[in-house]
Amino acid sequence: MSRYVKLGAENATYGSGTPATATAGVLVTSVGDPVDRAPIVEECISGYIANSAYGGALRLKGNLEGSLRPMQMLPIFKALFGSSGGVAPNTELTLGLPTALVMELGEQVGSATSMETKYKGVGISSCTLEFNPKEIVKARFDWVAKNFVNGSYSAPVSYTTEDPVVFYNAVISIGGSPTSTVKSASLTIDRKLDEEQYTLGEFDLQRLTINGMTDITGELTFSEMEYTEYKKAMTGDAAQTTIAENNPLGTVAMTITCTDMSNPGQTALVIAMPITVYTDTDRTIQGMNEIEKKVKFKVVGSGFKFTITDLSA
Amino acid sequence: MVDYVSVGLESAYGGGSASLVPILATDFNVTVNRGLEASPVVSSRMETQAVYTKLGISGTLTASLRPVMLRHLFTMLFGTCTEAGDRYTFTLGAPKSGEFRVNASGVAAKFLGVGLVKMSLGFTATKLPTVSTEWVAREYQYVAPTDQTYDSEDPALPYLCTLTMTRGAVEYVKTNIKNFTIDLTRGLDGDYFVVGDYRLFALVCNEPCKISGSIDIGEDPSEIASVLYGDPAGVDLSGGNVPDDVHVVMEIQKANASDKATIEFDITYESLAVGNSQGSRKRTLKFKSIDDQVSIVVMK
Repeated sequence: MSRYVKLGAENATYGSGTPATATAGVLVTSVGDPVDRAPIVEECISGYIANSAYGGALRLKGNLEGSLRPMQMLPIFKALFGSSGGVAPNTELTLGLPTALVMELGEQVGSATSMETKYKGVGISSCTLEFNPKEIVKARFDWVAKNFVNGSYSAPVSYTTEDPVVFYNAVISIGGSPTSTVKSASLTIDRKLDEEQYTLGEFDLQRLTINGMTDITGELTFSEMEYTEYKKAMTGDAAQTTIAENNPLGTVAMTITCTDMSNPGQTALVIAMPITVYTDTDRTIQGMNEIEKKVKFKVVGSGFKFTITDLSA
Repeated sequence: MVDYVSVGLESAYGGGSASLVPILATDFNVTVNRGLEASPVVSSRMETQAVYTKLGISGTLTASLRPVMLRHLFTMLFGTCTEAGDRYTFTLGAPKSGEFRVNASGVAAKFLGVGLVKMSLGFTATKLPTVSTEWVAREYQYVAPTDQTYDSEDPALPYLCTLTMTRGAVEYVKTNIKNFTIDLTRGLDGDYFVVGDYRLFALVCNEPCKISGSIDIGEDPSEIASVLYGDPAGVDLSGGNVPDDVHVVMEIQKANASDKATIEFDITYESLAVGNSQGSRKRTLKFKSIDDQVSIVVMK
């Protein structure tokens, strides 16, 4: 019994299903690929039940979850961001028009029964990274696709060697200084892909395009020892006791730096959020338990980027 | 008994039809206005002498586009139907009258002298194409409900519809159209009453047939340029304030890829509405058809 996910950038023709370079295996912990044929049912005045149903707009929306391996997941991040640059061994990802992937999902039951579904024109609509203590950092992706083809099972020969990012490999810096009061953090990048990009003459998604402003949000859960950032989130300025007349928001430069377990001290991923605005706070005090201080944030302005380093180079 | 709508053509206005075709309607609406008029008189604080005047009957009928099943509606709207070989061809002539028989919750009625004021054909990428009509009628009467047998015909499906635009001899198959509507208004005089009759007297046009519509389109610089400059390759108005005449053909196929129907007409763009809102983009192109080259061909 075996399952796999292989991914690669699609060539320039959206939905061709032809990878620009060969697809490669990505270690995932969960994948979901619902196929919604969205039947069109006609509600006539002359029947208690529909006469028939017709195939509708094919909706392929799924998710993919795995332990964060920045290099192995680089094609996914590239598709999410849409724009990449940098000098080897670094790849800098910045926001552009999302690009398409080819995703092959294989499963084998026993030794004889197997299938592979190749999804064409896959767009990554959103990504959430979750940094929790005692856990490997989770990366969750939501995707849409144009169409699919079922084919033969063909598992990856091997996977690239890369350790996942564990919680103690991730350091959050606020205002340039590493902080040790963040107990957990999450970051969501929602590209607002248009899931209604259907046109006359075709029943599947026609292209990857955005239909809204990219939303980059997250949440920090501080230990009860954190006062400065919590007060900054409440009033806009930690030194102020009230909100000033100009209603300022707490704004910080935040960075999440992930190092590689097999290469101690070497950076595998840097998430730069130079203009991060605290949006709301939530403090829970229950009995004599430790106080939970939650602060939500939104990334705005320019400068947001991922820098992924190929440590095998 | 379930509700139904059937449609037939009349040979004489208001005379009813001998042959009705049941159609699968998704919406039917009728409004009857008896034209009540009351006269205020100086000798009373209340209005007095209420009388019925002109009988106003109007309504709407909407159905999924089943071209053969709806052929009588096309005939009523267009006026001319030529049946030859394997097809019906509808072209503009004097509007024809028809009869609607409608059963609603066990009460059946026939509407006589029905004329179609307007027909809208709507094509949306994720929905069944629709035919919506507005109609007027001369009179009505209750009848006994009857069982209906529907002809077997699949509706048009959005992914089996192809819109082609032709400029000169060059055809452009449009693959980025999200919505397409065409409205055909016959300019029927819904107020054609004569002395001696309280009912609509005839189907008479008091305006020219007007054809207009809109296209919601994705990224398509050439079509945008066509609206703005009258030329899909245009970048300014140096060529003058000229229109870009485009011949449009909407081809509808059956599931087996054979032809089902073709709608054909010329358009001239009228306006462009571009909306950018929070990153979303909408481009709506409105057009008019200003000649009488419109036709619908329906394969039997």
